[in-house]
Amino acid sequence: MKKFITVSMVAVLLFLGMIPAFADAAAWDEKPVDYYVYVSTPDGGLNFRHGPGVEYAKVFEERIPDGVKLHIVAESGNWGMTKYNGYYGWVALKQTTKVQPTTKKETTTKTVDYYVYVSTPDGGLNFREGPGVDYAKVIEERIPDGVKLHIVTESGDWGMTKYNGYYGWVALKQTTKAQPTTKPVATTVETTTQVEETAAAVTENTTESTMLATTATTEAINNTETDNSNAGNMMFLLIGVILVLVVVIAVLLIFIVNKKK
Amino acid sequence: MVWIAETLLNNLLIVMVIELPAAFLLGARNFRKITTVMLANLITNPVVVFCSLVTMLFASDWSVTVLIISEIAAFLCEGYIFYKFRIFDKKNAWLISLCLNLISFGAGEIIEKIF
Repeated sequence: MKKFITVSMVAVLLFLGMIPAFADAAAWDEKPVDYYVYVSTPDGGLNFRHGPGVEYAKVFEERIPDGVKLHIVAESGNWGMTKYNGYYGWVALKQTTKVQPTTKKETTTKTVDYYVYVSTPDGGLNFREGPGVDYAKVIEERIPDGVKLHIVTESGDWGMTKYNGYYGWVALKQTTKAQPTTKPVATTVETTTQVEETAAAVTENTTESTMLATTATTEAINNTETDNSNAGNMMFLLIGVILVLVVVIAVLLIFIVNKKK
Repeated sequence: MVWIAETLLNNLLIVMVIELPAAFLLGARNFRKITTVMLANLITNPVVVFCSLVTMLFASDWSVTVLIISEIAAFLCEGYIFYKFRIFDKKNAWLISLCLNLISFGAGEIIEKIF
């Protein structure tokens, strides 16, 4: 029995040791964006992968056919994160053509940087792919009341944020603005000022100013926003730790069940 | 990451549905033996699936190698449990473990191909 317990513990420790390595590998720099592209490849299809690079496995074996319109919600290098057939994954942006944004969208979207708390009358907030109820939900479950969200872009009464590793839009009417804390305020004010200056310098071209402002703000936010960027890795670690606990409990239960006999 | 949890649970459920009746047919015919087979699967299956998923995500070139190694480790681990706690005859414990793992692996492959 001692031997068995020792072997089990060594296996558990080895497994625990492997988790951080996997979690490190999972880390990539992504920044939130919001635009559409058409698939346009020389060979008739675009691979849809689990991560931003050809080293990541394909989500589906079949390719995304040419002409399909994709909503890019995050970028990492030359790769864009999007949703296709109900799954999130990454596509090579080099093999796509950017859709020219409509005027209406440009005038209503602005870069912001503040936090809100979810506060709804019915206990949850829908998390959607775009700024409106006509957009599909990013995740089926609602964001529960009390959750703090970081709003990086506004479009009318809607705000873009990151939740559970995904980017999406929430109705700001169903949130309460959080009072800024002492230290992040300085960073936030500086960031907002820089963005306003950048945006003012390029007011002639609305499209460019929006894109620049978004990029500048999100990059600045990403530097200070360690919690959100590590959320995906933490989830991965959490699943690993839960698995280890399941293994340990199962080993103990085996001994208990067989001891009775 | 929710999809990883869903995948782990789905795989575990499929393996239980396949392996428990098979173990019953092969001689595990009381509560202690069936519970031990179930717990042995609970130890090995999620770890194998998790390792396989992680390799597919971050080192897809190694996915087949890791799958083979983890399946062999699962067979050895389950075999040892069956042998140690006399779930089946001492002589047959390893063979039955191999059979059960092959059955569930084969069924998993077929289900994956179908869906």
